Amino acid sequence: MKMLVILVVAVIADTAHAYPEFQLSRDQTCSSCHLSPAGGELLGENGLDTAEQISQWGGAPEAFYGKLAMPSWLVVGGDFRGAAGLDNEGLKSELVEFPMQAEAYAEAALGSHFSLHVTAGARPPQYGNTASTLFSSREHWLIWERDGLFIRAGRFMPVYGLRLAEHPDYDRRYGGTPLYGEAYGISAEYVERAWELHATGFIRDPLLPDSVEQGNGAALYAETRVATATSIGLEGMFVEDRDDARLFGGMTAKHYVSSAGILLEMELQGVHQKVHAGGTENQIVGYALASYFYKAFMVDLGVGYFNENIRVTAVDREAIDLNIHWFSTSHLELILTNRIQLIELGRGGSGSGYSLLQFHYRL
Amino acid sequence: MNPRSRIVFLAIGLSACGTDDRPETLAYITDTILAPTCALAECHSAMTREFNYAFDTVALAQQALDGTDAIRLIAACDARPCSGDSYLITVITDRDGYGNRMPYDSAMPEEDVQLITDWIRDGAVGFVQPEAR
Repeated sequence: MKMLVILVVAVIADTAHAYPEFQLSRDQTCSSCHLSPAGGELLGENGLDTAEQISQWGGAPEAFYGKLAMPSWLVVGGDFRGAAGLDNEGLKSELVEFPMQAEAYAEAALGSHFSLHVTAGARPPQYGNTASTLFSSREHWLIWERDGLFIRAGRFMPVYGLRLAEHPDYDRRYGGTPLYGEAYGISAEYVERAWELHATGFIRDPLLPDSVEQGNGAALYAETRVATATSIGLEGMFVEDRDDARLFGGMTAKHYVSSAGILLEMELQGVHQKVHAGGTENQIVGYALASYFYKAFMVDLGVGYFNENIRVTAVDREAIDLNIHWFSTSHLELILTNRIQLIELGRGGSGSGYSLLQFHYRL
Repeated sequence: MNPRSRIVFLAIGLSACGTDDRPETLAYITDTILAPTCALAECHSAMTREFNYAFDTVALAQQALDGTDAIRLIAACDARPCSGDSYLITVITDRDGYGNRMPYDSAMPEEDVQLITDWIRDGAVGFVQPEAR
């Protein structure tokens, strides 16, 4: 049983990101609710108000319910997640339970334009090396900001694509932003209501050579809100490591149908991979998501497609996701997350899936 | 290009679609199959190294297949064709010693399993057999 728990934790561990479903349906940009120009983690005033308003029973949305007075230059927070449910990997179904995330965040203002951000907490430990690898700082950066322009240096996830919270979604897993894909880099970002641009250069981690991102590269993401409820984005990324080079390119689109309370979003990428020792692959990665908002509920219905080599038949994967979020209080969220996954629509191998109830507490 | 030539080129292109001419090498199999399906951050990545197996890079895959610090995944082979029986194929088609088929989150496409099986039968090009070191 212990072995099973380890394995399942390994497969479904998570880290918190923002819900991009709220962009356009609540406000125009991620940074209007989050402190980071990319969204995610710490909330600003608008984000705290949203957390309270969308929840069933509300409550003070600030960290520690506002009971712990913080100096004006310091913002703290954290995310804690766990899940339990049924998992099927194609051969058997089993009941599982596991922790997913325990991380704290702090952002300190250093004068009027600079701030320092740190994310630290537990991570999946390295086999046989638990004591020295269980805790780490996944992200830390110094940022300069003025009138929507951000210059950031440190360790963070390159800003790219839809940035969905669920890392199993194909556009994250196969599309250049996998779980723990953070890297040391520098970015120039500009965000305003009508458009935004994020350019990031990053390198293989010189301090943690065992990091997930093994290459050096650059990412570019540009998004324009062509109408109040519609955005279109273009993206490109290049990564090269000792073994191969990968070129990603694609687009995103979002549209909020306010009359129906439904947000539609999609990402489509082409990926060219060149193996230095010989051989190339051309891949397609796609994800489409419809989100329905009803009172304290958000229902996500997603469809994913990944073709690992368009020249070879029966190596494409398809996934259908149904995630039901219930924002019970300003801090507590329950998510029923479900997936069915196929290979070549069932003709290329056995399918798999899971149904899990996830607990999420935002500090 | 005249319309007839276009049709010929299109036919050639379509006929190429679906043929599995992928290189049977350790580098190619690592970078295009093992890394994206096995080396997830929480599984057999350099970061986590579940049960001391990592497949992010060709060098790490060599160690993992060799079973440097764990169960050996590919048996030594002198004759050709080699036996397709290996612990690696058992693990990705049936179950490992703990009763789980790998990858744990979803099965590997049968075409990929076949490519890996063929690669092993043909001598696992690129994989340095312990006896050869």
